[in-house]
Amino acid sequence: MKPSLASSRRLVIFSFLAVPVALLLYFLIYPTIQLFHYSFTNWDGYSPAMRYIGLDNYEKLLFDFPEAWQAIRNNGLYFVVHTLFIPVELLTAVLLNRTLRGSGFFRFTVLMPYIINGIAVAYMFSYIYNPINGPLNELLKAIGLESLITGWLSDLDVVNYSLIAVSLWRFAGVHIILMLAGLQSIPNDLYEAAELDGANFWQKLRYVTIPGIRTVMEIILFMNVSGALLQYDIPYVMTGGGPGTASSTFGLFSLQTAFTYNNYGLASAMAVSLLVLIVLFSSLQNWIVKDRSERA
Amino acid sequence: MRKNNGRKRRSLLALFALMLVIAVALSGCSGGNNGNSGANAGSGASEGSAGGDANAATDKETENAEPVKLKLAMWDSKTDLEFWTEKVKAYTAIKPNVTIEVEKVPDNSGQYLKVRLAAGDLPDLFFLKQNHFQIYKDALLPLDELEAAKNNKYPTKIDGKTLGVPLVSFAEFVYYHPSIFEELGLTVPQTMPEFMALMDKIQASGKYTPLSIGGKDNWTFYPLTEFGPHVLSGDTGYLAKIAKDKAPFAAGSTFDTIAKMVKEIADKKYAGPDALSISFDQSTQQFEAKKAAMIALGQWYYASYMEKVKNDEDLAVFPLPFRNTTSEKLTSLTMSDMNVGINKKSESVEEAKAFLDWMFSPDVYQEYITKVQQFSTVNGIESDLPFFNKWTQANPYEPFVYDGTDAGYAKVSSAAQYDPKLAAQEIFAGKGIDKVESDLNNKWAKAVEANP
Repeated sequence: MKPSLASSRRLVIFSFLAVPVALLLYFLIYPTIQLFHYSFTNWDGYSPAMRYIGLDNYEKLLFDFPEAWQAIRNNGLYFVVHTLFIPVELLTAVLLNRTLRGSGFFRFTVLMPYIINGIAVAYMFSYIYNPINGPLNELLKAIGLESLITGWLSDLDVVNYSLIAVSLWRFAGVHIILMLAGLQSIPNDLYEAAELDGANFWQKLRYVTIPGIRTVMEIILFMNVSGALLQYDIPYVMTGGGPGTASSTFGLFSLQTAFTYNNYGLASAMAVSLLVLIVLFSSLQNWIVKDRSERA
Repeated sequence: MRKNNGRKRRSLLALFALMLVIAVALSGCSGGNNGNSGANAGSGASEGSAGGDANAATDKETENAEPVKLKLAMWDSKTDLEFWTEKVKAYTAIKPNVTIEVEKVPDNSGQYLKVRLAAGDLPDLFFLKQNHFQIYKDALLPLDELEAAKNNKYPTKIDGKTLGVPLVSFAEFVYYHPSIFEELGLTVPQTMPEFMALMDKIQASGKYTPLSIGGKDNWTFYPLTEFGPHVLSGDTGYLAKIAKDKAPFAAGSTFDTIAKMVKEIADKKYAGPDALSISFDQSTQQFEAKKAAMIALGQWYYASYMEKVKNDEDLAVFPLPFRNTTSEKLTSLTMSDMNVGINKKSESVEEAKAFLDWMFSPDVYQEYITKVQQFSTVNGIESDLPFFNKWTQANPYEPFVYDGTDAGYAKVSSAAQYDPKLAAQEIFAGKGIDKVESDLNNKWAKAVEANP
């Protein structure tokens, strides 16, 4: 009996799907399940044996490690400062969207920090902040602002802001470029119509531009939450989380828990908590910026 | 009809393509299996040759004729890497079928090899630090029967078995510039109060940083907060002891004494105006340029100093005097390092053992220890260290032999995420000693309870 057309079509579809689905299961779903599994064990990361310890790791994370809270507060600081900068980034994108002389060059310049390797960026800024002949201190001296010189990476009250400045320098560009792409997708007719109605620059921004790039903004806000919570390479290279654990972030703390202190179980619990936090904050943020105009 | 045929053909083609992909993938897997079985056969052969019957000699000859490749992994210690990369060629000249590949491990904290341990992919021989043994002990071959282990002064034993043979031992010193001491009329301090007073005098001169510390790299605090409390306790079993103590960082502890010393160094800026912003490299540059009078580091620093400064005319050492009065013993922490261990799952265990014995054979070892300028660990072989011999005679001390292998300490310190160097950074950054100590004690007590 010959297979029917429908069944052979199904066979082909399933055969083709089998490979990507298998890859997805093996490289994404399975490790995630394992991550949850490890978070309930005391695995040290190298022994063949591990013991199931229930929610102990989560309990430890909440009550035994004040550094974890300090680290998450630092992540929060990255999030807040980056969020405060989004309007500035949007304004820059709007300006770059206009036809300026050399706008291509400016667009490239804005994106460039994102293209440079993160580790190289961190090393470069370590040099900039250096107290011995560091360009930042030299610049401040040259313009007579010597009094502002401080221990950029050693003062407990300053170190996180020094690192966040690097993060801003690195990631603002990609936000601007995404906003620019969103801006370019807005049909020109809307601006022309607004102009005919007598709208000024700010009104066009408020009533045409911002609603037009809502989807892009949602993506940027998601990137902002996940980026702030996952931040680790800049503090890792520039301060190692120091002085002490003052500039540690949650990602860096879990990395050290896993590799330096041989506690994969606890580190997995941290990774799971981070996952939950990202989902939680992103959902909250999406709910806040949701388009309610139709309901209204 | 034709349309249906076309579809069918396309479906068949797609199915054929899929089967091809699966076939390639499967053949790849089976290739891997073959490889494994080959490897197992190889290890079986080498195990067989370990027997000592009459046929074994013939087997051994056959095996010797087969090419063997051993991997010797070491961390990025420039002198060691250069020496062994060149020297292993001499081993191949003696045993043409054996080639040794010297592999550089990116870190000396054991993190990279830990991943390979979990994956069952350790090199045949590798360097270990004392505190790594608790992690790797189940993967290491007992070496008690080897000549290299029998002749060694400080073989690293875990649960009664020798698992590592150290290549070097070294002491901790304070390096200083005699010209600066002469200029300021200073003498070598004999006690901790004298050491603090010495730093004060250098500071008062306004010309030099008394003690160069690259505090941005937290590990540079190890002579103070890591080794200090240990040496000050006078107990070589200090680490094992604190693993059972629920408040080893309380006021009045040796840790507390060192913490106060660190705080004084920080408050009085003995390590410069902003030591936490200075990296290790910058701190050594300051010392080498004679902008700093002293730097506290291990014997290992000498080779690096010589490479940059080219002569030791204005360099001397004294032991950091961890004692309050001259009636107490003056000691300096001495530790064995560059332990070589053998992966017990190596495919060529016998060849690895033979190679390890060769590394410690008199001719090879003498050349090595002279090159690295550290103390010999092999009985009957003395290292030629004119600089250290001269200054340890001028400023004598008793070695305080460090033991960092205790299993209880390894467990508790990991569970409490204890890093004494970070505590030093915190004190330097202005955190109160009481707060630092209570935080440490809280975590430590919980870790001790969880790991009785």
